[in-house]
Amino acid sequence: MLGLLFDGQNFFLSRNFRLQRLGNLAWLRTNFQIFQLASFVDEIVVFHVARSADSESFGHALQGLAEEIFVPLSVGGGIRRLEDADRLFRAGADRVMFSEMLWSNQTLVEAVRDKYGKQAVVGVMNFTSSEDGEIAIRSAGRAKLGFGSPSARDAEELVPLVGELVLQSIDRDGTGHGYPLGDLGKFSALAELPWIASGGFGLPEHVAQALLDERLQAALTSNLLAFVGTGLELARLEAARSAVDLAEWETLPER
Amino acid sequence: MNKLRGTGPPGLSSGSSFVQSLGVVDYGVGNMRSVANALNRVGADWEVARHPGELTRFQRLLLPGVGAFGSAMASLAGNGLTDSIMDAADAGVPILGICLGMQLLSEQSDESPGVLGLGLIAAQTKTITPGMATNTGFRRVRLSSGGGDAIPLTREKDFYFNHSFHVVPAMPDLISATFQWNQQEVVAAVSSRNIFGVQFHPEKSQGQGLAVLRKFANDGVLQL
Repeated sequence: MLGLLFDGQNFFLSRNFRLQRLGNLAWLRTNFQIFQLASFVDEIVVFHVARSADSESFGHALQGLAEEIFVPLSVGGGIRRLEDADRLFRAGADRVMFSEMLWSNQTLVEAVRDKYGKQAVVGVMNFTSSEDGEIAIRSAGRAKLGFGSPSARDAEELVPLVGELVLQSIDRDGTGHGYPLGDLGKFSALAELPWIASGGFGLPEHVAQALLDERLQAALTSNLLAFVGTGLELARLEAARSAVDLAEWETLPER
Repeated sequence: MNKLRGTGPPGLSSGSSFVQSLGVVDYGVGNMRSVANALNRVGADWEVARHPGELTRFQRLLLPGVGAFGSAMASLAGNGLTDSIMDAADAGVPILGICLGMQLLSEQSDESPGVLGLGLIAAQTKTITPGMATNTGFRRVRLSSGGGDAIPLTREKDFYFNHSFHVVPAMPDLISATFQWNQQEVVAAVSSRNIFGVQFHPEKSQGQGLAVLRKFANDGVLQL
């Protein structure tokens, strides 16, 4: 899965939750060849990272992406009301993602789930890991939302709310040092949900290692790996070499 | 009429050879934009159908869907579309349901007990097991031994699924294709004469998905 960060006008890389600007959709089209690279991933994720995120401008940008990308599109950020989610679905989103709202506004997440189905809702859990192995659940702004590993009670709340869960390592985000697979055991209470690993992928081997882990459904990268040269293509080749069962795609029909 | 048509990329050179008229039923919930983008990409001649009287104008109908069974059926009924779809089916108009649209073709769903579906396929829509699970991702679809009235797969292909419920036909010969998930065989496609359904999203399944849409828009058949 390829992650893109968006601030309302431009797309960004993520490095330890600090943003490095790439450019607008036209830039992505020209320099990043976004539409060609979409043929190497099975989903594209776009996070609106601006605090002032509004679904109207976000939806407009999504339309431009969705017109030429024929893989699923998941989006998060700036969803404060059901109408925001409506707007993003109408723009071409297939799934919407919630992070802090999982804790602060479950009523909203429930409303989206009830209208679009649980499979259309993805949870994002940002976490840090201390030296002694303790997990802390945090907001994207690093504020602490929860202490320790998710509990059975957390699972009772979250499992009915979302179809999948992104486990986002803040420590590794943007480092390129690989995903902390050893931390996954801390989330065993949430094992009923399919997991997506995010944060730290910097080499094709990192992606392959994650995809070989039976606890994970997918690997999500917004890292430089995805934006430089043939990084995504190499990651896919490495996964295939490692006997990961990858989907095979036919090329898009000629216009 | 159609506000989405023509919003796709310019230069649809294949458009002139795909002049059959396809109506995409817009009932207020669903993935209209994504389906519109895909149909534009393959040069299909299509329009949105929102009102009951419009449905008779089309040679084929497509029923997209993202959402919950109960609210979707309520929306169809609220827009007066239920009877028009049934009439089109009776008249032999090819109808393709996508994901929730396929489930709406069944008789009822565990998702919304007491709500009747269109009943165009003798089938029930059930929760996929285990109960809280969703099936999201590309899955390898294979031809069913039943085959139904779809044109058979020439080989296994990967399509994108995202669902919590699945259609269970009353008779095996309604099943056109299946996939394996959680050690069980799940129905991927159904067909019965002019009625077709796919549990996956062809509009999100790269080239092979767009080929399914182009074939249906062009010929009114389901070819996986």
